[in-house]
This record gives sequence, structure tokens and C-alpha cells, in this order.
Amino acid sequence: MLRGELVVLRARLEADVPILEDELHGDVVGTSRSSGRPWWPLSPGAEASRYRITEPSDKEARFSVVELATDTLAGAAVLNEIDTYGRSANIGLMLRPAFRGKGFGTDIVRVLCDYAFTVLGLHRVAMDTLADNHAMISAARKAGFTQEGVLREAAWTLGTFQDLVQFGRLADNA
Amino acid sequence: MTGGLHGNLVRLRARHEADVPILDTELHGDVAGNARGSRRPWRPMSPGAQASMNRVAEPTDRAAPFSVVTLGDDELAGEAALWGINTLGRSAHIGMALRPAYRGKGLGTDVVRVLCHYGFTVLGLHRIQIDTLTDNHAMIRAAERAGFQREVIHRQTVWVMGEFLDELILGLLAREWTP
Repeated sequence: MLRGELVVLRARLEADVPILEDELHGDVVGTSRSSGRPWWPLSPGAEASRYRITEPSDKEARFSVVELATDTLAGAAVLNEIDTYGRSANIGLMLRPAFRGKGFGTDIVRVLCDYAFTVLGLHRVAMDTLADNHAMISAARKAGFTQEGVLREAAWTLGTFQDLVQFGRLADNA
Repeated sequence: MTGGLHGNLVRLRARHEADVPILDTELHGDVAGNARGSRRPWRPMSPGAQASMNRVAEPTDRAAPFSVVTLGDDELAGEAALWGINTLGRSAHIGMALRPAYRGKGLGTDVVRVLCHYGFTVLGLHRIQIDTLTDNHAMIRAAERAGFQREVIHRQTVWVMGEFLDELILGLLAREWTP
């Protein structure tokens, strides 16, 4: 497992799945804002679940986020689009409602960067978010990301086209 | 033959079997060019390989691959595509590669315009983007002539023959597009 200052990132456990599917996937607004896909109803155990347990993969590393102080499940985080040729990857995360606004996002992004750069030997990590997602933008900046631009009206989000802000961070030795 | 989408200099039509060996040889066979345009390592590829980016394939909702032919003499000039078609975000990407003998003739600008017509008018897209290396001046010029705006520079994101290069994203919205 990977340890930050406030959270631990560990493998997904079976007990996490129904909680994450209910509180994260079940949040239609939050999922529509972050997934880039239309929200669908999802039955327990569905293959399509982003939160189900999967075998380790070269393309994606799925984590459960646990609050260090209480050992409680706080959310999900992923390093995806791992490209071993371009030596790059993308960060995604979503916290359970009760764990938002506590600075966990910044800690998670830092831990995922450490994993990407140190363990995987990547050269670059990217993340993007809607232009009005101030928590995610703040987490990216605090974790050392540079805003590289804005894809205008690139994300259909619950009735309107929203701008997508793109961030990148290069390995320290780059 | 006249079927397909017409520009001022080129016609975009479906891939034909006769195109495949030419595109595989001249486009895939160019290792350095391939490294610049692809996000995968170049590999040797035998004739008829399933992995060919240029092979004839059934239509899909995700990508529309075209062969580019010249209007005057109906010669194969290269390949072009709308790829990454996203029906939720109503967006897509433009990709293009011209045969060496057909570069520097303004065909790229015409291809971009024809693909915009296809994307905005036929498919009803809201947004089209072009992802290119920051030193690909021909592609950037073609994009900007069609009205695309520079939106993002992804720093050191593409591995090209020994170094990481920057990638420029240009975007055009349906309401900004003038046919």
C-alpha cells in the first residue's frame, strides 16, 4: 500500500465495492461531471462498474482510499491510461461525500504521482477536470501540476458543454 | 469515380484494397514519420497484417477512415480520419497523413475543411480537435486556416525517436466554423 499524510492507497477489497457503487456511482451529478460518459443505472456486480475488483493491469492501477486516522474507506483513486511507450499516465479520483473538503484530494494526487514517477518510472502525469471543479484544480496546483490549457466546451455535463482544464506534471528529473 | 466528400483539391472516399499496400509502404514504412504521428512504437509489419492502421474495415461509430485522392487525376494522396468520435460530448479528432509526393501542395488545408464539413454537418458534432506536435507547422497552418484555435500544450508527452516532444491541441466549435 501507498501511504500519504492523511490517506493510504491500497488495493480494492470486496467490502469496498458496494459502498463505492452506492455513494460514488450512485451520485448521478458527480459521476456525470467526472466520467466523460453518460450515467447509467448499474446493478450490483455489473462488469461495467468502475469500482469492481480487477486483476492487476499494465494500463490501469485502481486504488481504494482509506483515511489514515480512522482506517475508514474515503473514496477511490486511479492511475489510468498508463502508456509505457510515452511513459505517461492520467489521474482520476472521487471521494465519498463525507470525506470531501478535508484536503484529501491533494494528498491522493501526491501519492499517485509518487507511485507513477518512482515505482513505475513514468515521465509525465496528466489530470483534467471541469473548469468549475475548484477542489480538483486546487489539488492539482498544490501537488505541483501546471495548467497546460483549456479544451473549450469539450465535456457534455448534464445539459451544457463545459470547458475541460488540463494539467500536467513532469518527473522531477525531467 | 466521384463518390465521397469533395473539397477544392481532393476527394475523401472509403478505403479500397488497392490503397492498402501503398499506404502501408509509404506511411507505415516511414519509421520517423510514423513515430511522429503514432502514439505506439513502430514495429515491422508484413503485407496484409491485421494490425495495419490502413486496412479496409467495417464502419464503426468511433472512427471514420478515409482515403484522400486528388480531384484532377484521381491519384491516392494519403489517408485522413475523424477518430475518437464521442457521441456524448459530440466531439471528434482529426488525423491525416499524406504520401511524401503530395505534401506541400495545400492538400492538408483542404482535407481539414472537408473533415470539418463531415463532422459538423453530416455527424452533427459540437467540437473537433486536432492533436499535433508543436513543430508540425504544416498541420498547424492547415488547422488555423480552417479557424481552429490553440487551446493546450501537453508538455513532453510524445516519445519521438529518442526524445519527448510537446503536443499542441487545437479546437474548433461548430458555431465558429464557416464552410
